[in-house]
Amino acid sequence: MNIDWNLFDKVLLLCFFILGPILPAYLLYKIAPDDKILGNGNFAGFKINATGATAIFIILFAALYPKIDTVLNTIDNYTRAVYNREQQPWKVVLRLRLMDDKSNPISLQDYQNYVNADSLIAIPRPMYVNTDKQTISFYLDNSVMSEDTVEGTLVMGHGFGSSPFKIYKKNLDMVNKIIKLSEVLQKVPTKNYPTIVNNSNVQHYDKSDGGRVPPLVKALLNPRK
Amino acid sequence: MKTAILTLAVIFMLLIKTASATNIRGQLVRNYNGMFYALPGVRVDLMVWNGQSWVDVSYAVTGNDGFYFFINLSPGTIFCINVFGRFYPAQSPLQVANVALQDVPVIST
Repeated sequence: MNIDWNLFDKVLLLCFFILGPILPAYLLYKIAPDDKILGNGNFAGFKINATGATAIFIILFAALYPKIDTVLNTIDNYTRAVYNREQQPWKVVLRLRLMDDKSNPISLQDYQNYVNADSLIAIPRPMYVNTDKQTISFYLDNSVMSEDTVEGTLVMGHGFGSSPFKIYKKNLDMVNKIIKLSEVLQKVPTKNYPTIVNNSNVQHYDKSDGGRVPPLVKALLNPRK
Repeated sequence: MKTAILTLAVIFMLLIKTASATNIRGQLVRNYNGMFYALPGVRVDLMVWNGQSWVDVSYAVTGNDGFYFFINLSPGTIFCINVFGRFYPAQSPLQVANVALQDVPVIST
């Protein structure tokens, strides 16, 4: 059963505003029933002229009445803020470092050429690239984050390859909904690759070596059979 | 002498342990009138055998020189390459070796 907690809170609050002043009025009635406290004046267009416990009730209710709207608005704002935070997508900030080799990062100019919003392919789709901070930001829907792990892929050219990365649901910043990841990719060299472009004797696959369906795995797992 | 051998053995074991992720590289070319030209900007899909079926786990796009790369693969993984709807090799799949860099033969389309 779905309970509308916002409505429930409001009803509870209204009950408090109405029933709250009854307690002091009741206490006055019990402790000093003959006390002649006088309450008179105009309230919400009505002329009031009461004494004793009734006067206490009316005075307290009249004092609380203007605050009802303010408190109801506060509840609405709070509910809206919670709802917005729940609906807000997760922001993933991936810090991507590209290295020429183990110790030397690529130049800033190369980085700007390789990692930019036009050329970068990633799943999920990147929304913002900051080459100064070397970060890529993208957003994940809450439905996606309901999985235990979310798998993304960074498809880089220029020797940096296609790199999968995982977003684990553990240790997440639930308040700000930001996930920070870090990835270091090292350039894969193309030298010493036996390319056919310059040497047609190199072993290669041509169309006849490709099938319309994937190969059978059995042969690889049981080579003797 | 024994200490030196032991040290070398430990270093060797450490080296073996560090080679736990393999990068794969390959090249895509087009055979045109007997000449081979690199194919840039082509999507190359990596198909991995998960024990029951083939799964398209990742893809790369070839660079200007026709090269594509897949990085950080676990040794022992059975894989094949899917280009233009064809799976290479057709007869028997490839297996990720326990080396830093593994070459897939050139694919000529």
